[in-house]
Amino acid sequence: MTDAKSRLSPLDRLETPDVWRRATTLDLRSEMDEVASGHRSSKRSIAGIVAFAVFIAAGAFAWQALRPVTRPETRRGPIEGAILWPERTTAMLASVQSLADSGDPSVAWRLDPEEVATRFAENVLGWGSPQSGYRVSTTQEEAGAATVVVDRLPIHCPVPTPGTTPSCPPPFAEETLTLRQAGTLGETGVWSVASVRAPGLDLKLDPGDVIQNGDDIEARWHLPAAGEAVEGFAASAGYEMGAGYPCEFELMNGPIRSDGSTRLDVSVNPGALLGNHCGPLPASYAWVATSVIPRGEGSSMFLPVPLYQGSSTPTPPTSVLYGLTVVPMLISLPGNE
Amino acid sequence: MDNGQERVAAVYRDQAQRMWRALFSFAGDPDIASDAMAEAFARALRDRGAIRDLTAWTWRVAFRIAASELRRRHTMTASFEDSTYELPDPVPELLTALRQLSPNQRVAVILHDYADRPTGEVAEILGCSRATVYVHLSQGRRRLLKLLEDHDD
Repeated sequence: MTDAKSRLSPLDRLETPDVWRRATTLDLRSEMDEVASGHRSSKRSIAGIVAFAVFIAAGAFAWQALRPVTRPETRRGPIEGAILWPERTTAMLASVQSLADSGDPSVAWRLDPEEVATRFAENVLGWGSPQSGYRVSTTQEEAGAATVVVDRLPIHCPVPTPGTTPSCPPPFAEETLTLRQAGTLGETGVWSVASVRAPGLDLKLDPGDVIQNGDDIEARWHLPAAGEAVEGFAASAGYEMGAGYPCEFELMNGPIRSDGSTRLDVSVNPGALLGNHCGPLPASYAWVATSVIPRGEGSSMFLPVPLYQGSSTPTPPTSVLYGLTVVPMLISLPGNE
Repeated sequence: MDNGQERVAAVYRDQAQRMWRALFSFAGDPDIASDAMAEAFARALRDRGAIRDLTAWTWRVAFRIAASELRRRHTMTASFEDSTYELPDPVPELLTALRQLSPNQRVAVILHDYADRPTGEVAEILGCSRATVYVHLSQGRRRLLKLLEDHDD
C-alpha cells in the first residue's frame, strides 16, 4: 500500500547512532542464545550483574587462587534445537559432560573441536580417517564457538583415453562445521556440532528456527559438474523430528540426479505422537546431502545424522555422503505431551 | 577482518540505518533500538559461519531482542516522549499513531511498509503464517491511516 509507505517515509529523517563498535566488543557469553527462546535479561540488568560480578571476583580473587578446584563457567540457554551431534538434548549432553568431568578417557575427544569435527567426518560423512585424504582446520574459535573446515585433498582423475568414458571418483564437498560448547565453557566443556554446511547444498533454515507443524522447509542443491560422470551420484533432502525412539518421525525426498529444489513438508499428525513424550517442541533437524545411490536400490540409502548416546563409540555409516548440509531446528507441535 | 566478518560488516553498512529506525519505531525507545541492534550484530559476528541469510537473520534477531526487552518491561511500547532523543516533525505524530496499533500490526507495518522486508520474513519474526501477516498488514495500514488522518484534521 503506497499510502502507508509514504506516510512512514518521514522516519528516514531520524538520526541513527553507529553501534558497530559496540557490536564488535559485546561479550555474549553470559546470555547465549536466549533470543530463540524469547527469554532474555535486559542489557542494563546484565551490565549491573557484570559490574557486581567484577566486584565480587576482585574480592574473591585470593580465595579462588587457594581453591584446589575451580568451577567451570556454564552457558545458559536452550540446547534442544541448537546442537546436532553427537547429542541433541540437554539430558544427553549433561550425561556426556559428567563423564568428561569425571575424567573418562572415552570422551576425551569431546574436549577438542577439531577432534569432534574429525569424528563427524568419520562417523557421519563416512570419510574415514584424515589419513585417507582430508584436512581438518579451525578457521575461528572464540568463547565456546568454533568454525572448523573439513576439506578433501585433490583427487586424481585419470585422463580418459580416446574412445573411453572418463572414470572419476565422486566429488567431495568442503564442509564447514560450526561447533559449540553448549553447556560448560572452557577447557573442560565438551564440544558439539551445531550445524554443517556444504557449498551448493542449501537449506532455508537457521539453527534454532522453530518450524510450525504444517509449514515447509525449502532445500536446494547444485550438483558439482564432476558428479554427472559418476553413475548414481544424486542428492536427497529430508528432516528428522525428535531425538530418538519412541519420538521419531522422518521424511526424505529423493534421490534426484540433477540440480533442483524441494519443499520438505513438516506435516506431523500430533495424534499419532501422543504418549510418545515428544513434547510440544521436539529437537529436530533438516538436511540435504549428496551420495552415490545405485539405481534400482530404492531411495533409502541416505542416513540421517545418527545419535550417539553416551559412552559407546559411534558406529560408522554404511554409505559415504559426498556433501552434507544439516541444520538443527525445533518443530512446534502445540498440545503434544 | 576475515571474510565472514566482512560479510556481517557489509550487512551492517547496508541495513543499519533502516534497521535502527524500524526498531525505534517499534519500541519507541532509542536505547532499546541501539541495544537490540548491537546485540543482533554481535551474535551475527559470533555465529556468522552458521547463518545462511545474514540480512534476514539480523532483522529477525534484532526484533526478537527488542520485543523481549519490551516484554520484560511489561509493556509493548516504550514512551518516546520521556527520551531526550530529538524527533523531527512529523515523526512524533507518526510514532504516536504507530503506538496505537497492536504489537503485531505495528511489526508488520514497520517491517513490510517501511523497511521493505518480505512478508515471509515478517511471518518468521511474528511466528505466524504469511496469510496472518497479510491480515495484520491490512488492519494495521487501515488503522494507521485513519489515526494520521484524524490527526491531520
